[in-house]
Amino acid sequence: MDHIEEIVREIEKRMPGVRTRIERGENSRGPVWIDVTNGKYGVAIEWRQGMGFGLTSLPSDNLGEASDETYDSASELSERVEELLSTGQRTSPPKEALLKTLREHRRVSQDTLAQLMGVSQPNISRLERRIDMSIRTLRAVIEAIGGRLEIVARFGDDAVRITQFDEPEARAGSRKRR
Amino acid sequence: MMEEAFDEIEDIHSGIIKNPDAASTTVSDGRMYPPHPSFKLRNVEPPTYRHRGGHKTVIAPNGSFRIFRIEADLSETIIFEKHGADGKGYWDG
Repeated sequence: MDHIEEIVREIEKRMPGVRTRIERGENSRGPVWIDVTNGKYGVAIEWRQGMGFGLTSLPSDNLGEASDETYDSASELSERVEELLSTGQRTSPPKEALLKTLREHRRVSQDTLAQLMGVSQPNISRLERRIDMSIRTLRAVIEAIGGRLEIVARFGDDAVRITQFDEPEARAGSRKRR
Repeated sequence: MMEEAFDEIEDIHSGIIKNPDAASTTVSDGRMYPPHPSFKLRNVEPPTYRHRGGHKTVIAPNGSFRIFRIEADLSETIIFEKHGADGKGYWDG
């Protein structure tokens, strides 16, 4: 049994009665798709080596080249699939955004963000106008507004998540999951 | 021909600039892309390509193709089809 079949087994164990379908790409490194339905709600999972799992609710209007959500670990993925199928929620596609837009979208004021990061409001204002900053600072901003920073390097068709700059705990978790 | 058709439609209707590296991105840009060689399904005839997420394109030797949307119950609905240069679809037999 390969890891894709293990994931399907995990999903079927969590949600008895769901129907699954595996479709494999020609390349052994992926992608592999797992479609899951409980009859009423469905999701498409896409796995590619080095890129983790993509997740999109079915049916999808998006004919774009990316899944709505991404997950590193099979357990996170299974948990989200269970949530989507049991509640009828839909996956939400990420968008490109400036930090300011992202903060506003998360309904966090500059004052609140400043308090969360232990800096002054003018510092946040300057930070949102910067065209360069340290990974540590960027991570602090993203986490303060409730997100998680991931860095992905692209080489033609391949994309690899860089874990070198992860916090030690996340790095350990990433190793454990793979 | 099909790639040109996809690109032409999207250039007119989406207003989103084509990203040549779109197949390796993890963020959707909202533009529809033609089937990518990386997404060709193994051992499926006629050649079938998954789009990331819930669509498939089936392409016949005569150039005819159909795009299917995968529904919540995993059934598949035709959302677009185009006949080949000979005026036939592979589905015509």
